[in-house]
Order: sequence, then structure tokens, then C-alpha cells
Amino acid sequence: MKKLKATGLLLTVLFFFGCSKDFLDIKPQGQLTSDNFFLTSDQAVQATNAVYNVMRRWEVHVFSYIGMTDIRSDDADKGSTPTDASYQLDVDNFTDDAGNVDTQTTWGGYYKAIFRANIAIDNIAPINMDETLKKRLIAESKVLRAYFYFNMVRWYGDIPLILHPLKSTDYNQKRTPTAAVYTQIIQDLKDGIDALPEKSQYSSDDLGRVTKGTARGLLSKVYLTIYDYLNAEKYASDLIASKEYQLYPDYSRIFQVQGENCSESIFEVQVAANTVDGTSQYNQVQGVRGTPNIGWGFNRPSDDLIKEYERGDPRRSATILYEGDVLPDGSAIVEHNPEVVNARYNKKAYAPLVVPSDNGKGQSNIRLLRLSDVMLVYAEAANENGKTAVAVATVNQVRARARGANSNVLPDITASSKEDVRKAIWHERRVELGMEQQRWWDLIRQKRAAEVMQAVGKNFIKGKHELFPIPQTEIDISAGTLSQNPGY
Amino acid sequence: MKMNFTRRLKFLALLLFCLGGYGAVMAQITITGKATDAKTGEALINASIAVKGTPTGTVTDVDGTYTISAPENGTLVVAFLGYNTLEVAVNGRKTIDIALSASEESLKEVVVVGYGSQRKSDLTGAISTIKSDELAKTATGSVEQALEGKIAGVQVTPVSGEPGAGAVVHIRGVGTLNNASPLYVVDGMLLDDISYLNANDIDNLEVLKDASATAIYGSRGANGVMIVTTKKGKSGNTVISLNTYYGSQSLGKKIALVNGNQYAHLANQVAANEGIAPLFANPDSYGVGTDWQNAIFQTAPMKNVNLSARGGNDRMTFSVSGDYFDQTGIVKGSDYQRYSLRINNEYKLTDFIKLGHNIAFVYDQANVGANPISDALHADPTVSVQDSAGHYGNTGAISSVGNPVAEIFYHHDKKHAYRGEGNVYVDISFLKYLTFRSQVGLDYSNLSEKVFTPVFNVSPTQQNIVNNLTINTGDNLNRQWDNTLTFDKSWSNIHHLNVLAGITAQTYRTETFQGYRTNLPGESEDFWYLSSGQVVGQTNANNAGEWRIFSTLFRVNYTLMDRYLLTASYRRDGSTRFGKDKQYGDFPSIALGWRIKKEAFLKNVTWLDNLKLRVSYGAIGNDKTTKSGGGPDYYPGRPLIANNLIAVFGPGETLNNGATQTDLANPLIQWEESISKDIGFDAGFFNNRLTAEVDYYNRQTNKILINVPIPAYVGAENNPVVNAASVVNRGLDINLGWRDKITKNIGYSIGIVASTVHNEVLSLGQGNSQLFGGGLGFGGFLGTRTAIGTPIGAFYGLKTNGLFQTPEDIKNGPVVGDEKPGDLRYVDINHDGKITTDSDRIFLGSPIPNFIYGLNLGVNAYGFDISTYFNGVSGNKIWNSKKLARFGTPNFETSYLGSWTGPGTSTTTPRALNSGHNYLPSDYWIEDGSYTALRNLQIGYTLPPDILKQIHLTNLRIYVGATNLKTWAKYSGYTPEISSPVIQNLKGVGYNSGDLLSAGIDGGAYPVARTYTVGLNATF
Repeated sequence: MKKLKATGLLLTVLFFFGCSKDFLDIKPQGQLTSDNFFLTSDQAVQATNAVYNVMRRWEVHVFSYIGMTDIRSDDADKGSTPTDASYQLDVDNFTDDAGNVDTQTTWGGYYKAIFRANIAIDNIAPINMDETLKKRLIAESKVLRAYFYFNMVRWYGDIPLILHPLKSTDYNQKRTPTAAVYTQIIQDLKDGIDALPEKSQYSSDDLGRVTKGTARGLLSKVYLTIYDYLNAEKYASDLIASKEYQLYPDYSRIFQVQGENCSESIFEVQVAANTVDGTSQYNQVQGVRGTPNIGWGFNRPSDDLIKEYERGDPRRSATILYEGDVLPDGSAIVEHNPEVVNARYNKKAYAPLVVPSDNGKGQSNIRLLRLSDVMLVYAEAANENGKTAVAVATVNQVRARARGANSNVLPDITASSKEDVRKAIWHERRVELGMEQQRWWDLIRQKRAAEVMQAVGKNFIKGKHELFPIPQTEIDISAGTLSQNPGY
Repeated sequence: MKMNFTRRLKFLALLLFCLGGYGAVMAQITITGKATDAKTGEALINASIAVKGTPTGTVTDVDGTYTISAPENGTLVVAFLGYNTLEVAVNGRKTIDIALSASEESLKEVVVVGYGSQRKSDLTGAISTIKSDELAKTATGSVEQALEGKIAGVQVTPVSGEPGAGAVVHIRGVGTLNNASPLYVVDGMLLDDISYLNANDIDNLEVLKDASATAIYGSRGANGVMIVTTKKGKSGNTVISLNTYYGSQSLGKKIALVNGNQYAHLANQVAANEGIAPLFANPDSYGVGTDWQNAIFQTAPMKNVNLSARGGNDRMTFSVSGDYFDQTGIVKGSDYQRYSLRINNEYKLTDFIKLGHNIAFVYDQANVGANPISDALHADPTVSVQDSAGHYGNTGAISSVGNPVAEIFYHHDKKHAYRGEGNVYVDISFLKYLTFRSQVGLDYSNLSEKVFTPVFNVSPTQQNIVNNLTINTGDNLNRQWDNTLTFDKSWSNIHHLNVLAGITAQTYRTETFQGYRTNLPGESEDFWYLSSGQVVGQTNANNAGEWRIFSTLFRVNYTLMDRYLLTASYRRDGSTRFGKDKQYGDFPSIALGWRIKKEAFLKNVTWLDNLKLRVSYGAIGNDKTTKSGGGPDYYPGRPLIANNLIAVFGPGETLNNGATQTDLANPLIQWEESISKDIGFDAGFFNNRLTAEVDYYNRQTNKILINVPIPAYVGAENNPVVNAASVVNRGLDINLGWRDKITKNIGYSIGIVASTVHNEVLSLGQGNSQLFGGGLGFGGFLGTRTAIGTPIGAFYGLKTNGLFQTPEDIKNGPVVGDEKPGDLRYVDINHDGKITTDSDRIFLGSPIPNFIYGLNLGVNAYGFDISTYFNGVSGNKIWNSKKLARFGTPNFETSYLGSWTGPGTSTTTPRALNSGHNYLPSDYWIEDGSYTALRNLQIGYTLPPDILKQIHLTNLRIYVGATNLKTWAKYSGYTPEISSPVIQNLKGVGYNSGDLLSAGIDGGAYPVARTYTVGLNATF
């Protein structure tokens, strides 16, 4: 009897477990996996949105981005208190090494962005969905990928060119030569031109997505950067001819809230004010430090930049915010802050304080590409292609807009030699795009970074400082596969 | 058979009848007498005397005497641990003296092993036992911390000195690159954390070290197993105990920092060296300035009260205890209280069915302090804590760190948690030799935390414009069901066979919630509810995780002629924590033992009491996969989609959802497997006055899961987990004990534990020769390199050789290129004429000590007892990164006062800078981690029996003690005990993040306090 009971009990136990074949089959809670994602049209849109998402990130368009563009250049000094974020001071003074935080942050941030673009491109293709939308979404990711690589190749030179998520067996990549990286960038942008709608063809809900114009504008800059002036002129000309973009009448307002996505906006990172998930710290890191307290005060416009402006150029006061100035929205006066030496701020990064909130929830879009930039690309390329008159006329359009109603300032340029016109265009680029993170790349492209930076007392070493160092951690991990840039 | 069963049922009915208090009344007489040891005549204290078949019972007092009332024709049952139980018929006698003889069988110590128990003499595994009173000696709320230095092969490092903090425990080295903490088994429940236990409730704790002991725990045994058995009642008189102490804690050691004037001078020196304007116009005007360490540290109380009642009769035993522990932190603003209740009862339903339960309920609460230690070490000493108007001083202007006192003041973080852990079991002995046991266990905890930040404005960088509240809650449920069948039989004292077979299943589920709102209408705690904040800008999060494991297990213990021993075990685990095709794993072990002393040729060796040789071999697993950044990874191997990757579009700045795969997954992921070998012996000499346990072990872990730090250009947010590495730990565990009496009233004991650990990485997977880790803060350098042939997390950097004194020196090189006079001179390891961090860094030492030891001394004489123990480690290094991380111009340790200021001014301390050349990873920042600590000293006095009798107490001991009294160390930080960085989980318990690649890097640890205690142990 007892034996029977024992057997019965054990059988019950075994039965219980025997029935629970599914015991070990649990589903992730509250989580999608790639097995049940990338299946619908909605998910294709979300995967593409995830690429745009990285554009607001700290690693992509905030602190190190400012450091490796404006602060590195002669447009700006580090700013803030003398000792805050000494690694930015190293970047400013060319004493940075492969362990510098900026180079590490940017390198990792941009490759994460590229990863998301690659995932979207590879995974959207097989989805059964509306073909037009599918093509557009893939093209959006390609244009974004091209933009990321364009910045990276300008910062680092030869870099690993990764176009698909890597398998674990392929982690050790070599650096791809700059020329091949540019070939891919050009291909992606051309695919974008083919597949993307014009700005006006998008529904207004999609405002902020990359357009055919974005691809054309970027492509003209890419060609200018590799000194292919014919193509640079062609694509800039295509963009201008599309009549999708017009110079915004009031230069200073381009950078205010009302100038977001204005008529000359070709590419800008969309930021939503006072939200949790839609903000960026781009404004905060450059904002006034002290009173009013709207930021950390980095990226101080340099004396040299101020000197560059012609007498009475209204763009100067649209670019630089001094102590004692009234904020653009009239809400406060910038007070003296003894902690910041000779305080001066980037007015183009000014955004009204968002209340109630903290100033990390900055609301202003990050302007990446404007019509006047492409017009100056067009002028520069045309000039190099021997069309000096066309170049002069285009520059003068830009100056006319800057001048506004005040006919006493910024006279039309009258240069006629190719060299003089080139100089005029370079000057115009600096003042038109001051503190918009373009100057450093312009100096490198113009092959005069050493001369210009040394002239302002920086220890720029020719053959070294044209590029940033590959992060030390990357070189450590690659165990010899990845080489360092010269001089570092 | 059937008859027998029916009889048993009848007996049960009778028993219930008796328990109900309807026992027949007979003529009662009062009996007195004395219980003694039959051999020595010594009085037996606390022996239980019961009247057979009734609930009546008592225990003998301090001189062995008793008084009991019993029927004239009744029978007394006299029992005492370690003696044969005796039944004595009353036969109308009023005085009955009882002499008990020591039992051969019960003298043999029984050791709890996985899913059962074994006679110690039959053990083939390496198992160490520690008793309750040893644990209770250290003044700490953490059982793990109390283990420090007490068990051979076990290294315990306190997580921190924060109230309620636990410890990182490593058994026999570090066998993984992941979570190396052991498995805890509390009364059969398999748990990851025992922070809810108090030392007074623990009867004993067994540490299972080799495969013979741990393989029965399969995929969870590889880091070793700690079996905790809580105190149970014993039949006999009820014993009521009170244990209490009060302690005063203080900082054991301050770090020498420069004062106000010195700081101003050094800051100007740095500014000059970095080419910026002087920061202080008049550096001599600041005097000594503020001592920020004094401003944040305090002397803090600590108290513990434990009250328990234990007892029972031959049908049931009970144990009820309550414990209160209260600790205030030595850093202002932190405290912790824990209230625990425990009820462990066992009922004999019939003489072959036992039902029992072990149930604990714990409530704990804490004010979690800010963590101002790093800032107190770095804050500008020229700034005062507060100005005359009460505004906090702005320390951020130059040092770029917040005001530490303001940090404490504005920090509000309150936590509390409920935890119920318990199990109910039934033991059915079908036959004398066959027992079925089924145990169901539950461990439920509910945790909640409120973090409130008020509006404040200390400085532009230390301010908060809008008040806000974050609420975290968590729910954890751990369920377990074990079913085992044990066969145990001897044949004519030649063969003894014990066979265990079982099935167990465990599920674990956790769910967390987080909410955040701003603009609460008031700052007091009355408003700390989400709904009182504003809706705009609120956030919330809610997540869950789950894992399950299902196992079958089997073990045979065979003893031949009481001298040849064999243990073989096997477990098969199926777990959801691994890829679909890798869900099952097999874990076998085999061990042999030989009790040589039992052989005829040693029979006449009188000085040798025991000699046993043991050897074991087995495979065990570790399933504790960890996500990068800490916390368990519930779904490794699955490519998860990250959601809420918001993109903004449209004129109205609409938030559009984004989602995508942001990480790479490895579907082939499986457990780590350790192959563990052990050979050892146990010996006893000179009447067992000298005992020795010595083991040599070799544990090789293969298929170690590593978050391989893949190149950032791969683009994954986190590094993927791969089964790639192998590590070996080998060494010697030695445990020596000497115990003797000089006279009848004076006794002493000496215990020594010592272990060597050789930790070496054998492989890091194909094509992977090194693994970098150990972030050093700003500067981006990694401080450790784990490579084939090095220990895990070995320090890696440049080697220094003095300072450059002159520009000529620099010209002679070799150099990095940015040197100025006064900078560190690095050694050109590869002789290529230049210094690069690529090729000139070398192995600079290991964070893992190669020798750990403990020494226990005890003396008792005439009622006084003195016990003390020391512990220490040697052979390890510490990376002093709190000195290295500099963002602005933070305060300086006094070593900077000797900074180079011109040729010949220093040959060791470089010119003062905040970053750059001298901050490259180098041996300049590495210090010796060896230490010896006087961990505990306690002096007690036990009142003599005659006085006790007058005050009606069985036992009363008062004591004074000190914990962490003195540490002898070369290290310049607060403490040389630097555990690997620990991620705090919601429980407020340090979850070992598994970042063993960052072990031994001191970023400003919360030091464990020095504590003086007075206490009392009383038994009624």
C-alpha cells in the first residue's frame, strides 16, 4: 500500500513536469525581438526614425561635435570657466592625444549612428510594403549614412567603411582609404537624389526628413571637399534651380525659434522643446553660464572671428552674444560672470529658457545645411571652373541678404581675378557661416589650416593636425589592425 | 504492512488528543535530580528532561540539576546533544540522578550538504563550516561581511561602509569574468543574496568549495556554494535568549589633503604649467580653509537587539526570533534599519511523517545618502561650507565639483522593502531506509524608493530650478519546488549506501516601475507622491524579467568498511538563460576518500586521531550572465528591439516613435563550465587538540562569457556576450586549529586559515589575445589588460623612471613628445626610441591577492573570554584613480606639495598639472594593496553559575569589542579593501556587476567604519 502511494506520488510529480514541456519556453517581457520586428510598413518607418533619433545625441551633435569643429578652429575658444572640461582645452590648443574624450565620443557616436542606418537599409528591403515608401525610407537612411561618413572622413581620414552590421568573425576591420569612403558617400547621396521627394513633395508631418535637396546639397559639398569642382557646381546648381529653397530675408532670425525649418533650411536636426524624449543639449552646452543661467558657456567666439567681420556687418551681432547684451527674445540681460574669463557666447545656439524644465531640454533645431552655404559652394566651384562672374553674382546675393535694408554696409564685391574671388568667397563663408561648425572643415579643405591656425598662435603641426587621432581604446582593441593617424 | 500503517494512524489520533490537553490525570509527584556525564561525572547543563507521552518538560540548570513533576508510574526521557537518550521509569522515586553516556553515533559531526546531510567522517568534498557565534562577533549588519578572514579559500571584500551594505565574496579565486559570487542556499532555497539574514538567526554556514560538494548544484555551483542553516528548536525546555549590542562607528583613517593656502598655491602652479592666468591673486590669504572630510564624516551609532525563544517536545519543535538592526552612516545623511521575524517549526504528524517550515519576514528601510566622498576629496578648500547668511559655498568655480555638504543636504532618497522568504516541507519515511521529501519555497520582495530633489541654487553648476520626484518600485518573486527521494541503508556494518534522486524547478520573476514628475506643490515628505506633481513632462517606465530552471539530480554515497568512501553525483539543468539549442547542460562529479586512520597499521599510533585523504573531480557551471553596465541579462542570445528612439518631425514638433535593433545577439550562448579538481586531507592529532584540513585545488573555467569589447566601429550600443575565455585558479587552502586547556579554568584556541590563489587567464577566445577594461575616469584610458598568462583585470600601463629635470634631459629622450621639465619619464619598453601608449605599456600588477589569511585567537579563563582575529591579503595592487581623475582643478592630496617646481626640486613627484602627460596610465598611480587588519577584538565576561542562579538566568555574558580596529597597509586611500565596482540594484543591495576587469581601481570608496561596541548575551 505504502509502496503504491510512493509510486503514485512520484508519478504525479513526474506527470506535472512531463506536461510542462513549455516550462522553459518563456517570451521576453515587454520586448520585441528581431524575430517579430522588421515585418510591417510601420516598423520600417520606426526603424528609419531610429536613425534620425541619434542625430540629437550628445555623442553626435553636442559637446564633442562643437569641440571638434568650432573650438578646434580659429572661430572659437573653449569658453566656460578656465578649468571646466580640460579635454576641450586640449582640443582648442592642439595638445589632445588619442585618449582625448572628444575623439572617443565622436568616433563611437557616429558609428552607432551608422549601425542604425545599416540595420534600416538591410532590414527594410525584404519587407512586403508599399514600394514607393520603401524606396524613400531606404534612401533616407542612405543619405543619413552618407552625412555621418562625410563628417567622419573629414575628421579621421581613412576609416573602416562599414555598410552592413558586422558578423562576429568580421570585427577586425582595416581602415578604408579616404577615396573609397568618398565613393560610397557619393553613391549613397546619388541614390538619395534618385529616390527622395523634394521638400515640397513631403507631407507636412514629415517636415525634417532628408529630401532630394538635402542629398543634392550634401553632394555638392562632398564634391567640393574632394576638389571635383565640375560636379560640385552641377549639384549645387541643381539644388538652386529646383526653386525649393529661398534665402530667408532676415539673417538674424534664421537662428531664432521662428527660423526653424525656414525657407533656406536644407537639413536640420529636429528638436522638440520641453519634452523628455525629443530634446538635445546642443543649446545647453553653449548657453550663457551664470545669469541668466541657460547653459555651460562653451564655444566662445574668438577675437579673430570678430576681426573678420566687415564694418557694420549685421551678421556679427547675429552671431555673437556679449555680456550686457539683451537676449534675442528680450527676456533678460546677460550679466557679468566672474568665473568665465571675457565671457562671450554663440548667439546662433541661443534658445529661450524652457520653463518649467531644465536647460538640458533645449528646444532649438540644429542647423546643418542652409541655402547660403550651398550658394557659396556653388560660387566657389564655379570660380574654380572659370565662371568668375557667376561666382561673384552668387556671393553678392548672399551679401545682399545679409545687408538687408541697410545699403551702407557690405557693398557688393568687385573682385575679378580667380584668386581674389576665391579669397572673397572664403571670407564670405567664414562670416556667413560663423559659429555654425563649418570653419574647421573649410580650413582643412582650403589647405591653409596650418597657416591660419599658427597665425593665431596655435601649435598646429602640419601633417598631423589635419586629422584627429583614432581613439586609443580602438587601437588597443584592434590589436594592431587599426593604425594611428600620423603624429599621434 | 497495512496493520502497521493503521497502528500509526491510531497513534497519531492519540497524539492529537494528548496535544489538545485531554491527557489523563494521574497522581503527580515532584522529582529532583542531577544529570551528569557517565564517564567524567561532569554536570550536564541544559539537558532536556521530559515526561514521556506528555508535553511536560524542563532542562537542567548550570549545575546539572532539575526539578520536574511527573506521574508516579511515568517515564522520564532525558536527552542531551551528543549523548544517548535515556528513558528512566519513575517508579515513585523523588530523587533521580541520571548519568548519560556519550553516543558513538552522535559524536560524529553531521554536515549539511546539498539536498541532504552527511556524517563529517563520510565527506569526500571540501567543505568548511562556521558556527553562529563566530558570525555574531563582528559588529555588522551583513552576514557576508562577518565572514571576512574566517574560512580558508574565501575572500570577502566589503562593498562599502554604507549602512546595510554587503560584501563581494569570492570562493577559491575568481573563476569567471562575470559575476563570481557564490550561490546561497538558505534552508534549501537557492538565492542570489542573503542581505535579509541576521547572524543571530543562523545556526551554521557551510561553504562548499570543490566539485564533489558543489556539482549537485549544477549550472549554479561553479563559484562555490554557501549553505545557510537557520536555527531550529530542540525538544526540551524552552530557551529564551537575548543578544544585543550598541556600537559607535567612526572613520578609521583620513586622507591627507592640502589646506586652503596650499591649495591656492598649487592651483596657481597648475595654471602656470598649463599656460593660463593664476587662479588666486593672493594665495596666502586662505588659511587652513575648509576640511571637507570633517564636514561630511561623523561618529555614528549602530545597534542590534535579537530576542528568541526555542524549544519543543518530541512531537514538535519551535523557534521564534525577532531582530532589530539600526545603523547610521559615518557619512552624514545615511542610515539603515532592519526588522526581522523568523518562525522555524517542525511537527511530527506521525512517527514517519514530518511537516515543517522555515519562514522569515523582513522589513528594512534606509535613507540612502548622497555619495559626496569623491567630491569631499576634490572640493576647493578655500571655499567655506556656508557663508554667514547660510548660503552654501560655491566649490565649483575652480575645482569643478559640487559642495559636498550641500549635496548631502539637498539629497533625499528613502527606500524601504518587505521581504518574505520561506518554505514548507514534508518528509515521509516510507520505509526505514527510504525517505521522500517535498519542499515548496517562496521568496517574495517588494521594494520602493522615493528620490526627491528640491529647488536649490548653490552655484551655476550645482542647482536645480524645478523640484522633482522619482518613484521606483520593484516586485520580485522566486518560487522553488524540490522533490527528492533518499535511500539510506547499511549492511552488516560493511556497506553503507546513500542514494539521492530528485527533481527541482525554480522560477524567478521581477517587475519594476519608475515614475517621474516635477513641480510638486511642497517640499515636505507629505507631497512625495507622483500625483501631486504636474502632468506635463512626466515620465514612467515599467519592465519585467523572468527566468526558469528545471533540473534532475542524482547522487550516490558509498562507504565500505567505514574507511573507503565514494561519492558520485550528476545534475542535468535546463535553463531559459541561454540560447534555444543550448538550454540543457550536464554536470557530473566523482570523489574518493580513504580514512587511513581506520587501517590496522595506524591503529596503534596514539597521537594521530584522524587521517583522511580526499580526492575529487567534477564539472560545474556558472549561469550568471551579466549585461554590460550590470544587472542580470534575462534574454541573452536574443536580438532585442530598442523602442522609444524618438524622432521629431513636423511643424508641431511631433514625437514619432522609432525602434530598431541596436545590439548584436549571439544565439549560441551557453553556460560557463568549470572543471574542478581537489586533493586534500583532514587530520587530527593529540586527542584532536590539533586539527588540520589542507586542500590543493585546481579549477579551470572554460567557455567564460565575455562582453568582448568589440571595436566601437561595429556600432553596437553594448558589447555582445560570447562564450570565449578560459581561466584557471589553483592554490592551497589550509585550515589549522589548536585548542587546549591549561587548567580546568583556563583554555585557549588558535585558528589559522591561509590560502594561496594563482589566477591566470588561459584563453580569451579565438583571435582575441587581450581584453581591456577598467576605465580610469577622464582621459579615456583603460587601466587593465586581461591577457593570456595574466590574472583577470591585470593592471597595465607605462613604467616610470623618475622625472625629466631639464630640457636637455628631454632632448635625450625617449619621449612621448609633449614633455616639459618636471614631467614623468616613461621607460621605452620596446626600445624603439619613443614612448607610445601602444607599445610601451606593460603588466603592472594584479588586483587579485595571491595570498589571503586569517588568524583567530581565543582565551578563556575564570569566566573571562578574549577573542581576536586578524586577516589580510598580500600580493595585490591598487590603482589610485581618485587621485587621477581631474576635470577642473580639484583639491590635491598632500603628495602634490612635493611637486617638481624646478630642476632638482623633486625626482619623484612631477610638476602639478590637471591632465596630459603625467596622467597617462602608469605605475605612478599604482600602490601596494597588501594589508593586515585587526578585524575584531572582543573581551567578554560570563557570570559564574551561582550568581546566575540567584538572578534566574541560565547564562549571562557581557562584552566590549572593536571591529576594524587597525589596518596595517601601505595604501594611501581610506581602505585597501577595494571591491570591483558594484552596481546598486533596487534592493539597495550591491549587485556584483561582474566588472571584474575594473577590480582594485579606487575611485573614492565609502570606507568601512571602525566600530566600538558593548554588548550582552543572556539566556533565560
